[in-house]
Amino acid sequence: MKNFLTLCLITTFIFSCGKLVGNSTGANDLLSDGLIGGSSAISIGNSRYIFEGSARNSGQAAQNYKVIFNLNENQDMDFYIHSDRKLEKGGQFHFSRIGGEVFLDIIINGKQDRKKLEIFKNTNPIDIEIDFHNDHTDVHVLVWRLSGPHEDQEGCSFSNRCLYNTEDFALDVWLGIGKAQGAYWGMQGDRNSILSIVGPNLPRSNL
Amino acid sequence: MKKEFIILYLLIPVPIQLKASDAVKLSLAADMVYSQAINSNSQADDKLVMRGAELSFYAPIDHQFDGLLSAAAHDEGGETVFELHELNLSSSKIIPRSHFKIGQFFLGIGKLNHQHQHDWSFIRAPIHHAIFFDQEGTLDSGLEYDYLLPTPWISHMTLGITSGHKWGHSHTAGSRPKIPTHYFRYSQFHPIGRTDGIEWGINTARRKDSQGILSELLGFDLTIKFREGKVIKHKWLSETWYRHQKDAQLNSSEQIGSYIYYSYGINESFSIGHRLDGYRDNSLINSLTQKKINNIRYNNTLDFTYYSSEFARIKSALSHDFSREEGVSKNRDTRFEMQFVFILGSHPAHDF
Repeated sequence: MKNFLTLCLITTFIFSCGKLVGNSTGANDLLSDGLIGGSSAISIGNSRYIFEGSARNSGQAAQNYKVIFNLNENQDMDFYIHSDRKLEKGGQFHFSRIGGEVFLDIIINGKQDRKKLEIFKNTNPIDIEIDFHNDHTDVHVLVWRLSGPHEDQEGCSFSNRCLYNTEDFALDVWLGIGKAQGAYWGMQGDRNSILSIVGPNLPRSNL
Repeated sequence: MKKEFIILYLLIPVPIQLKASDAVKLSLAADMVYSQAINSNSQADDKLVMRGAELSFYAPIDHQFDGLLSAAAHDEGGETVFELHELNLSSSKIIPRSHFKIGQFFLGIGKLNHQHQHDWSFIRAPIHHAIFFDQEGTLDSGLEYDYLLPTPWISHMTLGITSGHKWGHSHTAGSRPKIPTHYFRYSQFHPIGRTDGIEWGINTARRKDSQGILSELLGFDLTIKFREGKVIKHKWLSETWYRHQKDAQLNSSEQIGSYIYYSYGINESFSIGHRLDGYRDNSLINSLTQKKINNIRYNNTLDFTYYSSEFARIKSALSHDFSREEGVSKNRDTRFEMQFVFILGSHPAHDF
């Protein structure tokens, strides 16, 4: 009995130390469907994939995502971030190309806005960087070209030095939007169109 | 004659009237921080930032009530944002053994949350404080009631209820919550000799936001001070906070964070201190394997402070922040910081 208690104490001590130094438990030993744009992913059906990695604090954190992809005429591509495992309840970024023009639809908590991304007219690949600040009372989303510029305030709203800013004074669609309710991220579309995809990382903007 | 006197008084500019009454106290607190990255991964700005300028007016309103107004200009990504910090009416003279305030204020929980940032013993917030409360603190509008319990020792019970429309960092007015923010603090102070003492407190806060996300916080704070003359020779500060959240689909998450800070007063002008803080997200999951990721984040900060007087100080600090996930170190951030704080005018008395 004494030995058992000693063993329990030693085990508890080692277990605690393991937690305190962040030792490996095998959680990141992957059995995935392979790589999409350099990131590990698994299929959840219907051309939907979940990527490796999840947002901090169960999604209530500011994170950054980067993607480069090709978008052909009449093709759609969806990216989901801070979502649940069904890729719902998060931020949806829907890209489509019609007549050479690229449109971005952002959908969060049932609210939606569309913007034409003129800079990508008849252009491939499309390079996008997203800051998703889900640690605010109401989520703040910033979208840039991956290659920049990366303005996050007046330069973004008034000088077109970003692609989208949900806190742009001209946009009242996002008032009272609340938070996205998940930590996962993924995509829906042709996986072969993704050239590179990275996330979730520390946010670019500290706003 | 009385009418003429009133007319004459109304013609006097307001600032002169205030000065004549000699009641309104004015304070300006300035807080400037320079951050220098030392390693390539550091997110330090490499520049001097005007982090905050806080203007406060406070005074007795009459024989029963006190009033406080404080507004602060903050740097947010290079832009100066001006915001109302505190505006409240308070009294400790109406209900025996009680102090209450109505208005907007920093929630009276924990150690740091109800102190102004320029009064903190360190330059940057501990990891868990920045995540749970914000880089500075959580403020809201409502009612806070503090009762000095009739016990042989000094003990306080604080209850508060605030709107809960927003919590922590926010650029918007927020939305009506399902359950407003409500909190409780119980604290004890044990004097040691005439100048030393220990204070500890237990704290809880709870809120359900407009989307049905229930947030519950539980915290413990401890402050120990030993003085020699005017010098705080030894000071320990510590807080531990646990946060549990549950969304409308009953998915839950939990995080825990803690810091301990010790400072040694060399003399009236200099002190050195060290803070160790850690943070752990117990809900971090590998999205593919569905297994919990073993993770921990630490910050180690060594600081050195020069006090010109109680109204001016310069603090320098060397900090190293890193996280580990599944045996791999990530996000190392080493930086050197300098903080310049000065206060013009009077300043309210500090907490213990």
